[in-house]
Amino acid sequence: MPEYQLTINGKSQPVEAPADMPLLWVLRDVLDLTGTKYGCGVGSCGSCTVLINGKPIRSCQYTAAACVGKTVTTIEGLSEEGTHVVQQAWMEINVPQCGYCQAGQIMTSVALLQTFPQPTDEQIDEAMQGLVCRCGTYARIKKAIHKAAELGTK
Amino acid sequence: MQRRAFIQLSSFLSGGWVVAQLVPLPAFAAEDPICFQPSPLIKLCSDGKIIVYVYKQEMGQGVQTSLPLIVAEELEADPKQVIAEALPYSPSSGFNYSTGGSTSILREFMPLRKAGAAAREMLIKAAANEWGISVDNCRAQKSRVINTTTNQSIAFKDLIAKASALPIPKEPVLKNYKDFTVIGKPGVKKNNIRDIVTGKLKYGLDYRVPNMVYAVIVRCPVMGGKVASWDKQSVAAIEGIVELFEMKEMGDQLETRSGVAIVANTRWAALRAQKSLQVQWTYPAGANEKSSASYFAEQAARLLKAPDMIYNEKGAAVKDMPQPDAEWITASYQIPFVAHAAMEPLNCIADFSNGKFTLWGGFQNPGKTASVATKFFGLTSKDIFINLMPLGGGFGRRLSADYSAEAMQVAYQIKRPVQLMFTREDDMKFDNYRPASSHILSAKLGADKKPADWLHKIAIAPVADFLLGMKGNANWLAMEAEGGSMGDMYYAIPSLRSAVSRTPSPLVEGWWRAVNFSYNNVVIECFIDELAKKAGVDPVEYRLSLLKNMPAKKIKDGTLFDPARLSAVIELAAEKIDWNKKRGAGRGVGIACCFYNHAKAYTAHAFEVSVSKTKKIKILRAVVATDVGMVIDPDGFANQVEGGFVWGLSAVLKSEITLANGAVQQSSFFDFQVARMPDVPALEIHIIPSNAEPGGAGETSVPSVIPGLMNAIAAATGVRVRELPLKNKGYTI
Repeated sequence: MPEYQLTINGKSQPVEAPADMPLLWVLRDVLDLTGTKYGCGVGSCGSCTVLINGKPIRSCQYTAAACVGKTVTTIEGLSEEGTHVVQQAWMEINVPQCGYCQAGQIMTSVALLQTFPQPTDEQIDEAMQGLVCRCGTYARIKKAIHKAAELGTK
Repeated sequence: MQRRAFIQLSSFLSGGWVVAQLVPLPAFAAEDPICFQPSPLIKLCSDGKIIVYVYKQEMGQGVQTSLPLIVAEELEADPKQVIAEALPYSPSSGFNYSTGGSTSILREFMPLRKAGAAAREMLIKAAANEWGISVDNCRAQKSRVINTTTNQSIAFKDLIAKASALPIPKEPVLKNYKDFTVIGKPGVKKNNIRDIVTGKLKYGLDYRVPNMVYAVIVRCPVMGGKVASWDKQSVAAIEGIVELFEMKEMGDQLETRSGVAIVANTRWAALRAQKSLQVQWTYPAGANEKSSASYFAEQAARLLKAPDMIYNEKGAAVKDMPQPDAEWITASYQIPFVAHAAMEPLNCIADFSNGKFTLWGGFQNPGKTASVATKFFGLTSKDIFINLMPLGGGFGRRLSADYSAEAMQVAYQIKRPVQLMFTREDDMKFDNYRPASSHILSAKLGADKKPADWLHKIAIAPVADFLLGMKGNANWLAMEAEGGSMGDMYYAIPSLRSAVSRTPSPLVEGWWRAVNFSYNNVVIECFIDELAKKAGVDPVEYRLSLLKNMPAKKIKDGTLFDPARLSAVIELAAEKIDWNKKRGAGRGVGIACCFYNHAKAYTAHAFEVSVSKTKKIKILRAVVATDVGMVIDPDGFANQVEGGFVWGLSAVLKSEITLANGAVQQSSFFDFQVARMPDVPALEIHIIPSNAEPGGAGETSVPSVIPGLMNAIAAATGVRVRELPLKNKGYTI
């Protein structure tokens, strides 16, 4: 089985995985980083979104080989105790219901706020439209992104 | 001091609050805290922890947040010290673990208040004994008992040992609502929110057990079809496959499909093999020719013939039914199959060893797995232990036991712990769908322009055909008339008949958020608007006139319906949407309401929309007025109402499951479309303050969204759409 040197959440480590195994399953089933969720496997829901070199990427559509030389950040890498500004905003706005899709929502929001530190509603819609939340927490997600923008400038 | 603790089991589950027995727990190690359980549902410990055992399943609706607040209130505990834990499944407990129908708070409110109040009285008594004073000179506050004469206080945790030795009060005195300091207060956060935002919360799919393997199933795409042959060689090149074997169908109530199980050392190997495995199927005659069009045609034809069952305005089965003539107003509606599509695809870990099953996963109704699935193996509910994990969405789908039964079958075969996963495609193609239904509504208006006669004809297959094994049983048709036509019509209509006909479904059906209300309430609230238009009366005025001067009445299931509360939410929603304002061409307002009797909730949704010539809908404003009685956790409640709104928007605008060649055509979120962030406008929520018995939120917040928006679109365009979803008629958002 091929081995890849991957940098995940700031830690460089060798990872053995089949060449065609999506990053999603490498994270979840090889490295036991189960915070990244499987929602559809075909890039239609965004639950598995992680950051690769800071960009939001569907980990179900990406391989370990493609990660070599890049940095991967998962929800576990954002902060251990929820101190990241986006996590703080999520808690303040009391966003989740079942919570299953929220890692993908949070990671996408982190990337959005790096591009647009003070995003408009339209920019938020644009960035978040690929993600599905069946519990229907969209309004709170939007509010929390604005809240994170506000907290980030303090 | 004796280092013992007691579980005192009470019989309040069977309705009373009587202490039945006192069970000593095994001796504790010296460093263990002393704990006592004045009820099976709460445990207080000398380390300060107060645990509320929640046997209703946490699926996002917040039972693990809201239910502990009820205990904290009566106990006078600091809510931050009150922790929720899922009560392990036990078939002999007598608890109804099944979680659905928006009934958790409704059913648990009094038992939990009594449990908290009993513990409070015991702690106060223990403190009074300590001080040698009367309990009348003591009160509890923020997890302490206070001597009201001296202002001395003792923490609850230091009273545990003494309190646990006291008798449990049979009739604890409950607090007055006016003294509530926890219930109904803002600022509560979801109990597990930190674990969610840090990715630490383990759902079923995140769980692993030692020596576990992974399974997926290639199921027959057509209901009733069977494996004819399969080619092991087609997956020979894939490394890591442990076993391949044919799955047995597991019969009524479980409704699993014929198929081939793939067990592998890694999930990825199993998933690859699922794509490659070649399976040939045989189908019952005609099964692989069915389509959505053929099913709706069958329903339309069935509605022209004599119905299977007729019910009157009281919900009683009768023989007679009016024959509408040209004087009647008639409209036909069509509602599609829809999927649940919870974000966490179905999954279950099962292990079979020493003649017993152990399961891990998220289940809305673990009791069904224990009672029905075990039977298939010649076992009983004593032979299974179920570890209950948080659900990544339920919406009714996890009331079924097909996924746990399949996992059990695989574990039974391979004698190893296994995690069975539905891929999203499996989840979409092998759901237990909200039934598809066709409706003909007819009404004759009296001289006062109100409906004097009403006939609602429904063609549908009852969910009970599948999940309760009731195929062919005419009595279960009654359930499919609920939501307005089963003795639960809330408007004053002197003569009402609902006529239900069974059209056997080509897809397995299940309960879906808002159940029968998601179609019956929808068509009724649209039709009321159609009648108002014919009568030349404003739709708000029309609704209010049908509720005016009506005394509160008991409806079919014994729930008291208060017309004044429904009128109040209609009036409030109308006022907030600025109903009477003049609006230009292409703009309109619409309203709809619902009395959700299962959960005693009164809701009205109002919309202001504009619709372009190209049928582009813009929701300019959306308002909901709701009265569910006392609200325990206002922000959690609001979150449910917001979620119900989004759920309704998906259903009205986009979502449908269609059938071709006997198989479901949708496979993921690109073809089973749901509302996404840009589709969802702000919802203005108006909650009517109430001290009435608390009702529910999850389902009650859905039904009136759908007809409310349909009525607004009809008002804006002058064109009434009677088929869902609207995208099929060219509407976009």
